[in-house]
Amino acid sequence: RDTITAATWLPPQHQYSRYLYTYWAEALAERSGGTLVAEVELGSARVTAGGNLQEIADGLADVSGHFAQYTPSDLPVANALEELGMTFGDPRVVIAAATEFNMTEPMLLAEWAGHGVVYGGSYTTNQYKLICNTPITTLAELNGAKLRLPGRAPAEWANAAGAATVSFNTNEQYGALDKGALTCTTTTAADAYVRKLYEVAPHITDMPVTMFWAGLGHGYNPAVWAELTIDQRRAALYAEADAMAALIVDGTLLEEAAAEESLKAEGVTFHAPGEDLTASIAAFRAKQPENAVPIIQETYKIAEAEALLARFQATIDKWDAMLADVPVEDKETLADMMRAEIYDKLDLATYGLQ
Amino acid sequence: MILNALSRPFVLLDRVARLQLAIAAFAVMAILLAISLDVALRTAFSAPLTGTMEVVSFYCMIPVVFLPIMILEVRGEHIDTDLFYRFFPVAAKRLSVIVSGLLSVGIYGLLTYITFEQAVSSTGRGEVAMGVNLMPVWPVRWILPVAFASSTAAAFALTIRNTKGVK
Amino acid sequence: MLEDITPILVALGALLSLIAIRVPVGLSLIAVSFVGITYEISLRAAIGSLARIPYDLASNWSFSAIPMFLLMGYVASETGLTSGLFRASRQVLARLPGALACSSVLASALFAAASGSSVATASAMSKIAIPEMLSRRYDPGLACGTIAASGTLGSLIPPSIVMILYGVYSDVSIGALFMAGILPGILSMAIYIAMIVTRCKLNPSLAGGGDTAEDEPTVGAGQLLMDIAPLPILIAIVMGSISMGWATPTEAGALGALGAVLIAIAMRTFSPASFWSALKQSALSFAAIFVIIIGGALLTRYVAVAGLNKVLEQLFVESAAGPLMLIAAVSVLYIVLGMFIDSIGLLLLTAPLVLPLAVSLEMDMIWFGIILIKLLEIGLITPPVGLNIFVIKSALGDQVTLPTIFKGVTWFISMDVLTLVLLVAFPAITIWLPEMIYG
Ligand code: NA
Ligand code: NA
Repeated sequence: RDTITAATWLPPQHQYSRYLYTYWAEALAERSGGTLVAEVELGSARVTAGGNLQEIADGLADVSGHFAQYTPSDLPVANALEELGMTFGDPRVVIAAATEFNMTEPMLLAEWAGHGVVYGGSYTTNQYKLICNTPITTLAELNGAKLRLPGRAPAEWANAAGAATVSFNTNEQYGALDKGALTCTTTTAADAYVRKLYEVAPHITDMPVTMFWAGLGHGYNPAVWAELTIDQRRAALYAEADAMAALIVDGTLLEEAAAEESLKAEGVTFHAPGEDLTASIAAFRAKQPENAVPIIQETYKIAEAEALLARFQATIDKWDAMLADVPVEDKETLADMMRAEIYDKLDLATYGLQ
Repeated sequence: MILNALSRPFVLLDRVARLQLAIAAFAVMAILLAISLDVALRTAFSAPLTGTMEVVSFYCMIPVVFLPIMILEVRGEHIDTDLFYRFFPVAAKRLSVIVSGLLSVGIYGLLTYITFEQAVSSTGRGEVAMGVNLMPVWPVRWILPVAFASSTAAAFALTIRNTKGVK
Repeated sequence: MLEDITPILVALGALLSLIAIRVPVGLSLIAVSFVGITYEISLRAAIGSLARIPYDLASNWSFSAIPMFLLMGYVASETGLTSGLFRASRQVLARLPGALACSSVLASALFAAASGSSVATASAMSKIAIPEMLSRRYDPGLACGTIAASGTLGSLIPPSIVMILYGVYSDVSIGALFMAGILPGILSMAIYIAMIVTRCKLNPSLAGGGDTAEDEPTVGAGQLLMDIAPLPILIAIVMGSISMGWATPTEAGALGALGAVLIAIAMRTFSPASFWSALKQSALSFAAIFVIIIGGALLTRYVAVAGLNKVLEQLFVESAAGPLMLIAAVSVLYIVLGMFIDSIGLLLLTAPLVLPLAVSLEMDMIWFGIILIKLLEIGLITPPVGLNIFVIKSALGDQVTLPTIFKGVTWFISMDVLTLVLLVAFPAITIWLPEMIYG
């Protein structure tokens, strides 16, 4: 086999399209010496947001991604870990730790195998921030504001702080912010820029709320994976490291900084959060690792939640230490570390083959 | 209209179909009430009705879409066109009715089987909707196999009747 | 290229054959897509698509607007809310040939300013306007064509779901796109009205045999106002709730339906029986349309896995010599594919290929976007798969046949082509307004 189809439903200019597909395909062609070529389809109708996991397993695409938040009951372990989303900081640490954990943690390996996909690599968002049509910097201003929040934990925090959480889908948030049915949505600065939210919501509260990584940056169809030679598999995974490092450094951290400048040029104000607002979210964060345990046990039916979270936290801590002295823009070192620490430790003669 | 010409199975099918339509009509009313109430509470008191989006999307829209399909079959109200069909000779018309009927029975039968399996698996893992509420949605999965099974029966019965009735 | 496209042509041929032997349109789409996906990938992939797509589509929040706008139309027609409007418009516009059809175009355009979707606009207006026209012995083709075509203004006049999608794909300002749609929307409307007036003047029988306003006693100004009021009030409820920030365009449908109920109660024409009948008819119509929406989504997936994008790439590499060539190629492509695939599906399929080409030719992406959206909207009224046509068919049942409606919209499609030529020839129609506001 010398070609595979890599498809995403995300539009061509999305970071994941650019780095996990176009950039990855280039890296793959190079690392495999042209023996494995990915045909990339961006904005493809082969796959859908909600069905992506099954669509990889069904062979509609040979390689694709999946956001685990879209199918909470299908992926309880992946979703359970994201209860800690508000407590992490550096996306480089999270993408490396998530990749390692997904490829070594037995509960996660079983989860992916059970759905008929081979885990290839992660994605990670930047920190989500409040993107508002009026300045929100204090608890008093947050009180009564109508927020679109991206997950259970941030909604719990915001509700406790007196905000109302409302549901709008992505296409509606522009109009809802414009007309005031919504006070703030929560997303990255880069996403706010791409979606033109600055036209209707020119106030950003400069305070990290949460981030996302649960699911697949890339999952492989197992039949196709089995048809690849060991060298081709290694080339694909090495290219995953290249693509993830570029995604996080160029496509996430540097792009976020650039987006902040572009947003400011469009007239957006970045507001420093007031002390009471910062203290409120910090207090919630501090208790979250402990609070998450019973929630995970109840919601996701995972009895050993505490041990699972502890194992993931240890992986996070490890990468935190490893990356402490690596400059943010050094994506080569990040990619090399992921290859050495994760992919080189896999037995590619057996990984992903049942 | 042709009701008195119908034999008992058709009367029964028609009754089931009307019941399903009535449930769908209630779901339409539920969408009206849920959204109106949510908008009113959100606008007036900044206190939205939690879970409106999930209730409407799953508990209302699924019955509205799938339950009336049976009555579309029973009464032949699916959107189709007789632009060419009406010029066919009787034999070709009869063949068309049989092909169309078998195809309908096949598709509904397949959908019944697939969605039944989905409902079993969804119930097994206690499927919840994405979002901040994680609302359980596995019960609505069962609407599909019910709607498709009844549509299979209706399509089958109607094919037999229409084949006889071709003029 | 020919061998790449052969399976797709065979599939579309099979689709036409099934529709010709009177297999329901939705089931024809499902059957062809199922076989096609099995042929291209595997039976498992086809079953997986059938297992997911109907449920995922039906549980999509955005679609909830359509049964609500249908309900609004059914409540209005069941309780006779809007019949007065058309009585009044006959009196006021007595000298205008085809006055009822003209006021229907105008009402649709107003309604479009409240609704984000063409199908929702056609849904609401079909039960409000068409029965009135038919009862005045309007030519059924003209009556249905008017609403089917004016319904497409729903996406051209802001707010518009298709524009939001295009804005995200093409990286242009959604606000500027909204502005850009206004004049082309008004132009489309004016051209429709001019065509209706001309045709009805030449052939008064199209509009019920000429001016028969004397049949009815002329009413006084007070009664006239009462007659006119309900539809503008409904539109004001829908538009007002959006512009005041109370509701999104999706939610506004429910407020419109609630408004229709309240107005009917106030006018003492409401009855529980008529409300119940409106609820049942909304569910029935929506399900009939949705089977086709499901089939359309499956067909979109089939042509994606059949490698339509590779065919398009070759087609466009040859035609990307200049902006006008690209527009010509895109027009042919969208008109042909638009016969089978609905507007959002077609945009998703083609945007990743077409938009980068337009960017590389340094075209004005706002201008290009409005042209694309106008082309996509034409697909809603072309046979054999035209969603707006089906909306009307399912709303009116046995009162009209599909061929009658398709014949009736032919005139409007010609007018759309004329509008397109004007939009291409005079980019200022599109970009003047956004440039004035956004600089
Ligand atoms: Na509109
Ligand atoms: Na069409």
